[in-house]
Amino acid sequence: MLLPNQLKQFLLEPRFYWMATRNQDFICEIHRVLGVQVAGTDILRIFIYQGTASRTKENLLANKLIAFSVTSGFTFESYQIKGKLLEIRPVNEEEEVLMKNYIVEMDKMLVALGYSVSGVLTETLYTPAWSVEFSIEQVFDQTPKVGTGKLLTSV
Amino acid sequence: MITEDMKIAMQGILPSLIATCDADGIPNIAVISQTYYIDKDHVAISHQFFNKTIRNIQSNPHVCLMIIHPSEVAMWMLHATHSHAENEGELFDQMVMQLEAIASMIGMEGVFKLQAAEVFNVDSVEFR
Repeated sequence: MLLPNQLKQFLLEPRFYWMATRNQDFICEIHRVLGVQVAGTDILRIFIYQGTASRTKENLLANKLIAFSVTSGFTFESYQIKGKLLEIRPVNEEEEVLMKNYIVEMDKMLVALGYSVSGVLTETLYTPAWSVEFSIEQVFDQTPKVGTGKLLTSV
Repeated sequence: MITEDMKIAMQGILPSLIATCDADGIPNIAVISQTYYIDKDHVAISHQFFNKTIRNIQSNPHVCLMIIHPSEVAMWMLHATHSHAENEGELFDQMVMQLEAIASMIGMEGVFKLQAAEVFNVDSVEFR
């Protein structure tokens, strides 16, 4: 099992989620992730807004490579999870609800941190969205500290 | 290329992101505390811990940066190409000062130590 239970728990709270992909020329693309689910043993499902994800989708279909980042807004505890695409499809109703709840919770978190006023995130466009399922191949600790970037688990 | 609106997203209030790609084409993403505005065509990032990012930049200078406005949560994606590193001089000193301010703001005094200012030419900017 590549995803430690502690990290599974960490992913359940509202966090900053991002993903990176790359094209055939090895040029990267960053995209905001609006929710995550643990979809099985060593499988994650993440949700991204379709309106800005055309290159990300092209990259995923071309080479399947994903780097996913999760960071706590309070402690800066951070992890990077690298893996390979299993499936990309439109989100279902349940996943749309999860995305909406994530945005609401993140909005509350940003207010609690003093970064923004209430409601700034609730205008975030999130539908239509893609559900991106990927298998986990490597997990890295990226919490800011000397020696960070350590490989925690890998296939 | 970099507008006035974007400068506040480079004050380190919200962290930025950098994505790089190694020689085998494996993407890597890392949170960075500081994307520093130099002029409308150049930015610098602080090289602190991210050894993998630095190794990737040495083999592939093309990076993707995401900067975030702290109050509006507007985002800009920058594609940029690594130019050079500076580990002394005015830019380095200014980034040390900003990094100390960021560390103080988030309770991480003594954790961040600037190794170098990594300077990039900005190739394109997209509002996200």
